[in-house]
Amino acid sequence: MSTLITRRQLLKGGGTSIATITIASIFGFQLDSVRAAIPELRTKNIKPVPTICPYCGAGCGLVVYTNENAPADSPQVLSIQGDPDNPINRGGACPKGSALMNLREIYNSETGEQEINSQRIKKPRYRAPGSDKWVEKDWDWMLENIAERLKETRDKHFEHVDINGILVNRCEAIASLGGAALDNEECHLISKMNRALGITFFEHQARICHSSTVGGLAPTFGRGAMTNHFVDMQHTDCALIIGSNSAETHPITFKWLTEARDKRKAKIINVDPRFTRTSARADIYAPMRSGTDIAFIGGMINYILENKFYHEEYVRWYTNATFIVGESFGFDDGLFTGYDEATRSYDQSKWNYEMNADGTYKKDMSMEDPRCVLQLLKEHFSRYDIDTVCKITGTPRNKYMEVLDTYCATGAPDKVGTIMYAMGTTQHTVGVENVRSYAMLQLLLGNIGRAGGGVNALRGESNVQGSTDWAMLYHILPGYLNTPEAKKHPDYAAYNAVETPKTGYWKNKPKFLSSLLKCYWMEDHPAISYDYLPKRIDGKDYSHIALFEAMYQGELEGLFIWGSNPVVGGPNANKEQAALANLKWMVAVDLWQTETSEFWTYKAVERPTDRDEYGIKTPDEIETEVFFLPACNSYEKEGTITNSGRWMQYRWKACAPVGESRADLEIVNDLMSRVKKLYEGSTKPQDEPINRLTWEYGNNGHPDIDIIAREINGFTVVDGKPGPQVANFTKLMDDGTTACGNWVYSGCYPADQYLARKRDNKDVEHEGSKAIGSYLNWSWCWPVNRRIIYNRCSCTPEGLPWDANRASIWWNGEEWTGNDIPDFGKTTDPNGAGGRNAFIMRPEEVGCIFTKRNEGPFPEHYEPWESPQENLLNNQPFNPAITVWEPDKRGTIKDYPIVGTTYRCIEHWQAGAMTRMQPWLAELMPNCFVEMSEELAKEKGIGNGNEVIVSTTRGDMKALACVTKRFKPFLINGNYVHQIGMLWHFGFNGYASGEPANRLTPHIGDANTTIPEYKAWLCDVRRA
Amino acid sequence: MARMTNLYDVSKCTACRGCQVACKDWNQLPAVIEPFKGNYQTHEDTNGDTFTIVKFMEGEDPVDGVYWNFLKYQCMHCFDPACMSVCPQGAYSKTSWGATFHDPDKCIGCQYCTYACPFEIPKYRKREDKITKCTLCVDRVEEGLTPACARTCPTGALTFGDRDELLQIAEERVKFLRANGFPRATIYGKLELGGLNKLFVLTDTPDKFELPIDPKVPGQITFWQDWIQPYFGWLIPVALAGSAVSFVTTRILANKNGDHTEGGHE
Ligand code: SF4
Ligand code: SF4
Ligand code: SF4
Repeated sequence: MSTLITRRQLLKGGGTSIATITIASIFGFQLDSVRAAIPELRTKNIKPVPTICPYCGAGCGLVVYTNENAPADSPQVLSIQGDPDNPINRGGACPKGSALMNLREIYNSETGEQEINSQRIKKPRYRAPGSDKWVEKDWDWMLENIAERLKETRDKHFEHVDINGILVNRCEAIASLGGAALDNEECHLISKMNRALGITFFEHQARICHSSTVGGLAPTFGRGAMTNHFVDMQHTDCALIIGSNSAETHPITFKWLTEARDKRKAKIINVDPRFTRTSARADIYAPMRSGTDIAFIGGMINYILENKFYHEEYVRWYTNATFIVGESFGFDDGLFTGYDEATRSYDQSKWNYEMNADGTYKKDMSMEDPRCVLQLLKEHFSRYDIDTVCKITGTPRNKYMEVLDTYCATGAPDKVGTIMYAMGTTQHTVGVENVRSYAMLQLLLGNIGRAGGGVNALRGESNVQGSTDWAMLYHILPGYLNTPEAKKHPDYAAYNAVETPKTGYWKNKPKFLSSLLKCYWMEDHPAISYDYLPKRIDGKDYSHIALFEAMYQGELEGLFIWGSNPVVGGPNANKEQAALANLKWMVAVDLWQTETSEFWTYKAVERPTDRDEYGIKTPDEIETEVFFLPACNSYEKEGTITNSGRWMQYRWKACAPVGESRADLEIVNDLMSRVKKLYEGSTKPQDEPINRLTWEYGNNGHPDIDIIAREINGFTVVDGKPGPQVANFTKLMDDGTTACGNWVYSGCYPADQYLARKRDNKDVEHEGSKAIGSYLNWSWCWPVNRRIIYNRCSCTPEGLPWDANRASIWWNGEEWTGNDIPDFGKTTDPNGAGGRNAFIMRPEEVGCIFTKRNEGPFPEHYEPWESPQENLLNNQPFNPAITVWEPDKRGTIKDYPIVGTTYRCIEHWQAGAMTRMQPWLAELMPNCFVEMSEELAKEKGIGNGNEVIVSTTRGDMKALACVTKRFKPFLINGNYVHQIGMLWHFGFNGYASGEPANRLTPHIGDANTTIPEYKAWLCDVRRA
Repeated sequence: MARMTNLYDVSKCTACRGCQVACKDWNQLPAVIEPFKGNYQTHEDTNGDTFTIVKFMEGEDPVDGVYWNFLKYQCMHCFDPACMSVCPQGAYSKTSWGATFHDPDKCIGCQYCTYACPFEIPKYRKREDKITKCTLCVDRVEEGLTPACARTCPTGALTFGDRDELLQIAEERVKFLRANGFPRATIYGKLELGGLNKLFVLTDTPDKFELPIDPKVPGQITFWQDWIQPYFGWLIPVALAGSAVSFVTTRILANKNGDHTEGGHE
């Protein structure tokens, strides 16, 4: 599609034109002699094309200035800058955003000439078994061969009916990984394709970055997403940044926090094991040993309850603090009632609420009943006194006190605090409970649903929110419907019976499932097509770690990798790399030669020592066929991505793809069309999921984005064909008369406009109130354009804003109205039935301080799997409900006395392929480093900048030492404990290369979502 | 014509280095990849292809604990620029709004400006045999746009506008900072060297940001510009060939340490 057409589309969809930042005051100065020598503005008269940054989840807008006359295979970009119209960043851009040109073009360091970035792959490549070289091939050859391999493996390993006679339609020998950097439309097609193929090992980055967020937030609030959004941070009175280095990982947050500070005198608190660029800009910095969040937050909860700092009315009406819990619930020495040591799991029926005879919940509105949630909570956390907490976390007492007093003050009804977090929170064996503890704290302080508040899970990939919504995960279908398990959900009726709750909005689930099935198989009734979906083996773990364990055992034959790099980013990367060599074939789709796509090269074998725990093979020993398909970059194609704040924004196409690279959308469309052709004419029932699949996205391998978007939105099915689109998900039906690709996105394309393309950045301001930065006409946001979710809580029980200066919605006597879309029944009277049930997605319809998770209904501090310290609060060695994959690889302080952790820096991104391949970013952070305290460096004889080797039971890694005052030993229960940390972005390719830190990290995960423990493990360090 | 300038407030800067990259994007500068030396600041100084850098300085205060100071560093666009005074070719000029503009077409690569500048800003670009430095994005500003670095700054640490207005903002900010935990906060650039067309709000004394507390044009330069250059300017080509006035240049060079003699670092 030419840039001309995309511009026209932009105008049609946009409305406002691109503004430039001008300074009125300087117009009209006179010509002087200097001016003659000043070069002309390079971008004069060029209309830039808007795009959205492909890096972190903030979703900053950028504009691409292109030389349209330059040939497609030559440099075209003049400059890429922040989009001044985008409300999120208003023209700002961090170094990654500012370096976007390098994704396509660079300036040569020798000649200064502009040229295509030579790291971009221009033609498909094939690696034959045993070879140590790539061979270039054409697209036809590649896709034909891939389709054939796919069919061969599928046919050989396909299970149509399982041993119990249940239709399962699954293929457990092919896995699909990745997708968080793809557009929503692409995720939709991959999700659809994989489900039709019967793939059960379907995973992507969300598992290893924020799965515990969904696992913690959904059972508490009803949805798993970030509650507020970036622009909203300007309204906070206090930001608690814990488990996140947001100044580096989500730089634009500091635009809004700086604003909050300037305008509201807001305070910024940063809790982190090391002093970071975030700490440098915080008012309070409190160090905390990695892996002790629950102790830290538990102490805060205790302090709040003891001193009655909680927001009492809010807690009474909007949470389950008033609910009475049954007598069978109890807790002793780190274990809740119902624990079975043999299975390392709980009988969760021991934790039920007490019910009234009429089926309603038993409550005590005074919250004084010793069995009510508030009293049980108080008892549970009474052990978390300040001294005990500080002994565990290593936080100096005075710093902890400062945090307590500053943050707990947001419990006042007119004060609002936000918690901002990321991987420092989620990537632990207690990841879900860490998130839960934040959510509970925020409920107690009355900070959910309010402008300037929330639990803000900062998503780290540009579309990881979208790809999660698209369920590129084994356990869910698009829109957060559980995937069928064979025995639990043998057929359509059984699925609906088991999965549909009686109360809360999820009672509409059958409509969402029915519509999804119609979207996939439009000509069949959902009761039939339900069985086309793969049904997984009940209770089996297919998540990232399990997937690689299965691969390591040789259980997988084929693997698709969509822009993912586990050889660098996977936990226990040595093992994951070794596992890849057991594949028969692998397809990697990427812009660059990632370390994963080159796991079979000699470079991939190099290690700093000859220790090899997992049997890494050399090229001649590796039989895997590797197909590399070059993808184009984010501004060489078009589509939408969903940011962390759930805004679905459009990216227009600004340049021609480099070489023969293609959009993932075209690749998946082309591939699935070929697979369908291979199966054409088959009468085998097991091939029905493919043959019956509805797959019509336009011709010539260029799928039409609008057709896909309408399918995502949903429509009425008329004569087995797409009819008019539905307005939103409230119009979806459970009888097969509507189709919808993902109900949470329903409403994004209601009539003739893809609302993601909206670019009107005038804020909405309801008469008599102040605008709060909702920007309802900028892009579109799920659900149904609500910008702050659970916003019913922003009002008193009677329906008036807690704080009129930050009013989100309110009850005007007849309906809910205001500056945002109510996340509530529009006409539900606050004083009538259900008028205070603010969390519509929970069966309880309130925020759940007490809720069932695999390790209990309340968080409890457990030490990491590898810890320098015994648990001071109970006698459990680690989370009692986690799966231990490699018991022999559990390091102890005898050999590995130092706490190790991994993290990011602003200059690089995730597994690094997208930034190490860019000279402008490589120069800012050219090597991998290990940060350590001056004290530890002295002990070990390490000088700043020295080469060091870090070791764990899994492997070794070499990097440069960064000896700094910003890391300090922790005083833990009277002893000093050292912690070190390192960047995990590095691999052997790129302008900046180094060793993957994940060669050190363990294969151990959380008890609910199996998110890997990247953040706290034991290691040792020495001079290389 | 009012002076237009940047105000850079260190108390808001997160050292993201967006400015450093945006400057490269706009000014079409290649990367200069140097190895990590134990500090996030991978370029010790600006260079021929890097007009601006962010400096990282960590330290510890017995009362306040650890601090990490950041400083975006580039040409100061001095009111009375030494670079301009010494340039034998008249390659430097001041725009009506205060930028010190260097015209590469006139530059002969003699590098006198490099040694004259109190901030060691002008750098030699070997491949073209020219000096380069921050242009204050004159091409953008002349068209009514903000400089690339100021436009990209995500936090608002770096802004651009009328110097008098920015000075007022800076003064208020310093007052606020002094009352809120930074008793030594100060403005930089207001009076230094008679005034810089770059304003800084610092949270501590300038030395904590590796800025000279009282910057001075080197004595030899004053001597050069007031006495030698007016009379011997015509001797430059000869000087370059290493004759008559080379004793002066040698002196100037000797006063600076080290690696400049090789022609800047690239
Ligand atoms: S800082 Fe140096 S290069 Fe810039 S104007 Fe002043 S003297 Fe000239
Ligand atoms: S004003 Fe322009 S040239 Fe100077 S540092 Fe900023 S972006 Fe670079
Ligand atoms: S862009 Fe702004 S915040 Fe980032 S380093 Fe430059 S001045 Fe500091």
